[in-house]
Amino acid sequence: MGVKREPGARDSKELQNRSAFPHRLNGTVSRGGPNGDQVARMQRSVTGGRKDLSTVGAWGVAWTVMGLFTRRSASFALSMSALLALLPACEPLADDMDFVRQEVQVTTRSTLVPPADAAPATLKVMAWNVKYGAARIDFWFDYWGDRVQMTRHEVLENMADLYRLVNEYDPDILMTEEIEVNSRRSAYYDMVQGMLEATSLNYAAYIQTWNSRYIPSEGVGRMDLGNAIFSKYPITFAERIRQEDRTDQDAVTAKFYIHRMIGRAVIDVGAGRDVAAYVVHTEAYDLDGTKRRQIDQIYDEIKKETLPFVIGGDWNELPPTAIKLVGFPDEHPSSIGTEYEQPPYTPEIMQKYYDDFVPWVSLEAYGTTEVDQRRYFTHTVAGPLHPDEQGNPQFWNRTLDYLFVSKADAWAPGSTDVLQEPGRQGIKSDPLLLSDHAPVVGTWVLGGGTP
Amino acid sequence: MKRACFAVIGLFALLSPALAEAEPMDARETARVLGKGKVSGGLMSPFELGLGGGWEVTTMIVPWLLLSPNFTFRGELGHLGKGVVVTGEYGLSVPTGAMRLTQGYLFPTWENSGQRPGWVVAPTAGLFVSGGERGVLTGRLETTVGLSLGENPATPLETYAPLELLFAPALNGFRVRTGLAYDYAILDWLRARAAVNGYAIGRSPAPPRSPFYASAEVGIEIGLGKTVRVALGGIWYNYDQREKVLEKGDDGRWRRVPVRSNDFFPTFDLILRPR
Repeated sequence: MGVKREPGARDSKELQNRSAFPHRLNGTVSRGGPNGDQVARMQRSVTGGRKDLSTVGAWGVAWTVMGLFTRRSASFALSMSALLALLPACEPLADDMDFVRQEVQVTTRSTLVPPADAAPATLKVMAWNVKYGAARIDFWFDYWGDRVQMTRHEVLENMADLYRLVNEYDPDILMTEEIEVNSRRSAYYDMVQGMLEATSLNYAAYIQTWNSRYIPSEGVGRMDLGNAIFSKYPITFAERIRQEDRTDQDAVTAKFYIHRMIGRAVIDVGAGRDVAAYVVHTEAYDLDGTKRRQIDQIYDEIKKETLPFVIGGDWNELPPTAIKLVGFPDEHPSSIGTEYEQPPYTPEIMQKYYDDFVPWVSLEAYGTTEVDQRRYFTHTVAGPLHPDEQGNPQFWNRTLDYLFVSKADAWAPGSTDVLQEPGRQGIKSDPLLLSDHAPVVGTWVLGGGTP
Repeated sequence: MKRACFAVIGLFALLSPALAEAEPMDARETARVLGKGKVSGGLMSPFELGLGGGWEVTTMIVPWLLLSPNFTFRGELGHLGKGVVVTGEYGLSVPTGAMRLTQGYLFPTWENSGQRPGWVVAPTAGLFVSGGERGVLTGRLETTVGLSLGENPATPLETYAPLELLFAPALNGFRVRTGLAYDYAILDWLRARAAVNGYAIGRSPAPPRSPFYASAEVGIEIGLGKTVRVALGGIWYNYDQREKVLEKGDDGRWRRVPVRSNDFFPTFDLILRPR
């Protein structure tokens, strides 16, 4: 098959009004754009700076040996040259993702399914942390189990259940977190392409956040995880925007750790209209304020968006009026005191999202008692397979996932929800069995708000 | 840079009494076995002891440090004409200790279930053929199989080639290696070596991946006196480590397609091998 390979991944069309995004990836710096260093970093990432220290050391040794033999035997020189030529092909230990913003490729369904409405006034939106298709299999870092990888059969089965729920709701735009395309723990299954082929979503922008060739911890191995934006309508441009890394980890852990990104896609929804969709997933276990800074950066980013936008994802933070802040029943006792113990939440940092954007569930609707708020909880670590202290199956116990749209837009009344259980918004599947997060959904009314 | 390298080699030469030796250093990793009582050993090379009668015993030191016993007996099977030796190799190793010591890193801790990597014994059989004097050409064919003694929850690592090949008998079921090496005495105290190898390992969990590995290596050995050698070089591996890249097809669609990984590792060893 004749193919063009572009490891740096940039080629898709940019049809949007670039005034919303002056930071061109081709190095042309617009006013207010990145500085020279940032441009250099962006260019390095685009052209594929795939060399790390181990290969630099290898260069040194190789050149020395080559120098020794150049005069003695041309064959040795040739063989060494062949080896050296292969060096740039070496895959790094882990991708540091050393860029500020980077365009990402848009992948498509093998056969496009035309949307029912070519120029819709409303869009059904869903955001869901799909827990890399692990459903309720207990992985080691949750302390409820000690699995580190799934069989291919398990992944296929779990993903089929996820696709079923997506089809039951049938969103026009889907944002997913913790989706994988080539990870050992999920049997190297490409969930992004799987989602495209199994639903009526046509386009996908995979926002890779974790790309480690081999994680030498608990046998985790290769990791290729990220977030994704799917759409029935054409994604004409997509990019990932680098977020700050944690600073409270040792160097080895940090090297192999996730790098959070803001994913942004420009979607052509017909009639000459472009909208933007964002997907985010912020830190969960940091002790150095990284999550707060990431949430601030997300806010700043969408605040300057000029297109109508929707943002969805897993903020790993409670709403500002959440009643229950500590003592969630699903934290395994043995996680206490480890790096996976849940740090205290700081829900006040979400307030400005509610002030400046339109949440899918307003704080009024969210209520002021735990009983009221329970209806909108989106997360439980343990799930129904582990009973709580009273012996009851565990249910969703906190809200960490959100949808917001720009002030100029609105949510259709009665359309917003958390798909906590069968029956919500007509679904038949039980989301509690499919992930440790529930999908958040709503119908986005374009231009239905207060400009 | 080149001048500096020659200066370093020149310094080695000045310090090396081996310059006065008439016989060049012998080649290592060939079909030839050590004479009775002769020894050889390195940090990364096997420790060898000549037993006499055309036999020697070898063991790798590093696995012992990881509580993994291993022995290989090598015996000359005969000669094919002048200077061509055929040697058989028969070994046994128990890699379980290394797997258990690396739990939490290469293997899961399995804290809740309390599982441990199982007991595995790995017998080896091989055939070496070497010929030549100043330049020694060696062909090899080895097979190692892993025999589980009970349940073994450990699965193939799917990691870097050297580690994968090391644990392949225990985790993939078997490892077959074939190779060709040429080792030439440039000077009495300096040898150069080039080798190519092909490997096949047993099955990995689904989805399928290529079980074939290729490697090519070049290096030199510098004699420092009558006993010590320093080996420097590099090795390249080509194999399937589940890497995928995004490629644009003729139809304009982007797809993730599997590609083989290429890795280059520098090699170094300090070897004690009295002449």
